[in-house]
Amino acid sequence: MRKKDIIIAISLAIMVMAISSALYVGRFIVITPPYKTRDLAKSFLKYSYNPWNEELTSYALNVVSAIIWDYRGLDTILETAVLYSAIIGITTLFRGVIEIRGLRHRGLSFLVKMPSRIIIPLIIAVGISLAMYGHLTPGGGFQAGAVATVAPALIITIFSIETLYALKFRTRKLFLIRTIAFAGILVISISLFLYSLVFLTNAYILQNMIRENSNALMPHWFVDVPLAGSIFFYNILEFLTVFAGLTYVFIIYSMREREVESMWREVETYE
Amino acid sequence: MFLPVIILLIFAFLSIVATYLAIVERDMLVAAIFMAFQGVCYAIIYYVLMAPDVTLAYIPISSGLTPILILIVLKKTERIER
Repeated sequence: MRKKDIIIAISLAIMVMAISSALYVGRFIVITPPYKTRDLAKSFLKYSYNPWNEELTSYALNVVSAIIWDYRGLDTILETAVLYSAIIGITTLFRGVIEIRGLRHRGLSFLVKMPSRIIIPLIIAVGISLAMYGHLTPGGGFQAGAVATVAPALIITIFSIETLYALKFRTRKLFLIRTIAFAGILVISISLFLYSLVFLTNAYILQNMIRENSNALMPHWFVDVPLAGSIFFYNILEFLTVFAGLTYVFIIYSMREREVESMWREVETYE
Repeated sequence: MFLPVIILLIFAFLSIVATYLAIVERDMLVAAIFMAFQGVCYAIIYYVLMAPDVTLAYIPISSGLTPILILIVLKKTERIER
């Protein structure tokens, strides 16, 4: 049975490879990126970190971060809103769950637990560094949040959900952190506009650096490191939103039977 | 110049094999592991195609969060598909 499956899989893979290499030889598709860059890419590369042209730069060395949070900021904010509303949907589906501490639990064996005690803090550290340096190196808020969420998910599978409760992860608190961080993203997006209303200057919504007709700007230099203004704050807040939101989902999905029992009672009263 | 193409072909080949085995596998736990392996192959392909940002998002989601989510679901339901 297994040998047959492997033979079918390899023949399927050979067929796909043959078709794709035929297309590649015939120049119908391009596999590797071209070595020449297009004009649009050239302009982004030229202006994303360019202190000599202050009207177009964003002081971010990572061009992808500069595009998704500065030049095309509205898209990313709406993406975060989509994630936010998806988690609100899960909350409505699982309304009425309660957290009960002190139920019987046992995790995996000692051999799995001991290395993961070392690995889990490292995963959190990688996540935080991806968020803090998202404007300088590849990375960013969403990636950092997804990396850091692996740590609570591993704690749930390897130890138990009780360990996560003991580490002060509660659904109510995570929901609050997520909402506050998302509100923070919205406040930062209009902060320069509010500043301009107070000091009677011109500013745009979602503005980061100096632009045409406007002199308002976010802090763009921290001691000797470029801070890229709002991109840094957006990355940190996006990290908090994604981390708190996905951890909340994992806690709700892995709740025990006693904790979900009251949900059914709630559903029956609604019906 | 041909090294990226060769790496790409090898990992694309492995990912197709892993995908097929994940679909036909009856034991869902093993299928989840095949799926995680396919995710690793795709992450390497993204890295070869010069998209480190996508790689960083793809590694935790495909080989960390999704298999763990499937493990939690399997714990609550059945492991062997009938």
